This record gives sequence, structure tokens and C-alpha cells, in this order.
Amino acid sequence: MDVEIKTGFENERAIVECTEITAEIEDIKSYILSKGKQLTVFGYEEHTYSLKLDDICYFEAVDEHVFAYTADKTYEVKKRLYELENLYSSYHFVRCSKSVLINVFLVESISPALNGRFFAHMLNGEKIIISRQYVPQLKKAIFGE
Amino acid sequence: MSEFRSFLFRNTILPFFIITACISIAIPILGFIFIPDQKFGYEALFSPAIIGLATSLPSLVKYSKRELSVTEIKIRSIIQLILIEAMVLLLNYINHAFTNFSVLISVVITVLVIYVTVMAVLYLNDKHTAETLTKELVKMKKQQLSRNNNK
Repeated sequence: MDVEIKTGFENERAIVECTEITAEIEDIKSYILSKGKQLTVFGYEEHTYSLKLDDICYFEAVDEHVFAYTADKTYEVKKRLYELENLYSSYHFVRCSKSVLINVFLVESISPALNGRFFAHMLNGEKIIISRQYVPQLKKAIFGE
Repeated sequence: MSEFRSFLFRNTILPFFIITACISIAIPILGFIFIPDQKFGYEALFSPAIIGLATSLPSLVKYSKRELSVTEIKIRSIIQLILIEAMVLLLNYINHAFTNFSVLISVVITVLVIYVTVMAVLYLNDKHTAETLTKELVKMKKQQLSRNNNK
């Protein structure tokens, strides 16, 4: 595939020319979109920050609050988990249990847990449980079925 | 409730039918081999279903609305095994199957071996799935990385 980058424009924009829309083209599209994607989150004393989606390892719902976990920090997100799932499922975020949404690109490996469940070993060293009922969703995201 | 129903179907009702079918096949085969002259009444036909029910009901101890930790699953699996052993021993006791202590011990060991074997098979299957997923994950990341390098 030829890649051409032009500079000097006011706004950044990516145009992909293709003969037809294949899975690979869709993948490139979601990758480009995720690069620019920022999420407003809340840190200590309600300070607001802008996080790149790529830096978020996972989202977790605890009681009525949703938190975003990066490699070393935790932020609160003023959105429901299902809203984040709908917004970012095309950015490689997959539901892995009732309360957690993981970034598949930041999973280092997967190992079995008991009872048909699995552990997602994240790049930041954390282990997240993948519930049995969400395993098909994860397989779909990884195998691209 | 629907979550409990799906648990009930997957972990209790489905195993009940599988166990009942397996016992229904195993009894005549073992009977023909070891005691071919034995005769039974109609009540004997209920025994596979009774054993199936008694051994599949303990799986309910693994039900929880929240996500269980690995330690909790291990503890509940041990409780499940103890309940299955108790059910099997009770059924054998009611049927006056324990002629001596060695029969009782052999039943306990047989149940333990079957339980551990099933768990081991399930674990190996999960291990294979996990390895396949990890390989595919690495492949997916490599593709992404090569795409980044081409930019």
C-alpha cells in the first residue's frame, strides 16, 4: 500500500483510497480514529484531564462510579460503562465482565482461571478476570470474526 | 433471575441429563460383564435419574451473583466434591451397597478420581483456548506494529 503524507494543512485529516472496504481497511480506520481519540476524565480533587484512549488499560464500574485505569493512575469517568462500551467498542475496548471493559491492545497474555474463566494479564502487570459469558465477545475481538 | 436460569441450565440441568445418560449406558454394560444373571424390578430404572440429580445438584454451590475470586472458586469446588461424595455414599448406604469398609473407600476414591479428571480435562481445554487467544493477540499486535512502522 502506498502511503503519502502532505503537510501544511490547517486541520489533520486522513483519507484512505481503496478499491473496496475490507476488514483491513476497517481496521486502519479504527486505528486512525483511536489515535486522535481523547477522553475527558476526572482526577484528584475533580481536576479534569484529557486522556488518550490508547493509554487506558481498562474501565471499571464500582458501585455508581466508573473509573479509567492507565498504567499507573486512576481517573473517574462521568459516563456509564455501557455508554463507554457503545462508544469505544470499535477502538478495541471489549467487555470482559459485568463491571470491566478492557483495552485488548494492552493485554499481554491470557491464561486460564477456574470455572471456564480466563485472566487477562495487562501490560501494567494487573490481572483482570474474563467472565465465562464474555469469552465469546473477546474471541470475536481478537479473531476478528 | 435469567442469570440464575442460565447457570441452572449450564451447570445443573445439562449435567443432570449427561450423567443420567452415562449411568443408563454404564449400568447394563457393567452388569453384563460382572453380574449377568442379576434381575431388577422397574424401580431400578429410576436409579440413573436419582444418581444424576443427586450428583448435579451440588453444582449450585458455585452460583454467585458477583464475580467469584479464584480462591472462592477453589473453596466452592471442594464443597461441591464433598457434597457429591456425601450424596453418592448416602445413595449406596440406602441401597445397602456397603458390604465392608473397603467398598466404601473404593467408592470415595472413584468419585474423587472422576471429579479430579473432569476438572483436569476442563482446565487443559481452557489452557489450550488461552494459548490460542494469546498467539492470535500477539499476531494482531504485530500487524498493528508493522502498520505503524509503514507510516
